[in-house]
Amino acid sequence: MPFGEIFGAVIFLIVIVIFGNIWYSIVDSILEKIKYKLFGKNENTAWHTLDEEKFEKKDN
Amino acid sequence: MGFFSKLFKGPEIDMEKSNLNAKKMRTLFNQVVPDGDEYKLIFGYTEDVSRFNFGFVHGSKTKIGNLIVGWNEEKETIIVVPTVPDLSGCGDATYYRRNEILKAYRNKYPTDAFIIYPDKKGYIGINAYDWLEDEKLYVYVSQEKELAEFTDFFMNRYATK
Repeated sequence: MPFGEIFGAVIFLIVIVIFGNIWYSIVDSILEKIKYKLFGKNENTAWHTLDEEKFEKKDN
Repeated sequence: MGFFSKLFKGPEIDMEKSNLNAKKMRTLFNQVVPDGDEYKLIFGYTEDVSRFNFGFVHGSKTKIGNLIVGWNEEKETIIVVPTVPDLSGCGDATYYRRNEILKAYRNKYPTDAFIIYPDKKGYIGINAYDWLEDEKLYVYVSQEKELAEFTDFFMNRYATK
């Protein structure tokens, strides 16, 4: 097999992989947006950031 | 000699980083659990594997959820607090009291996990290891002794079958 054909096949596979990744990202983001619109944000998502003062006291 | 012995020894744990993270875990846990000091802690995680088929692209997607897991032997209670790998914050605590849950057991297949069914509607599968190197996905903490204690507690005092 000539070098040019091997190179062409590799490039073709790379293009397919890149296109597959882009396609996955697009479809996944659309589905996430639809889910968000339909079900909204989960209300049970209280978030507590690390209390640096308490952490430092524990550290000493 | 020195190079090869290091090579075969495998990755070494940064104990300074591990101890710092263990303290952060304790601070976060005590922030959301009023009597937090009564609980021993380990780090665990959940895995949510979902399959997708987007036309010619299909495969599976795994979501990892980091957890601070606290347990109290006398109270026979496990508390699970969701967190993030850098321990910058945490969510609300969920209590799993042995007398309130439906069942609990240790799963061996497909993954070695501690399974708790609070009711018939759902379950939580807690995976835990001595140490996980990937800091982007998991909390960096060495917990060989704590995990052995938790396993002993879960198998001998908490599991329902």
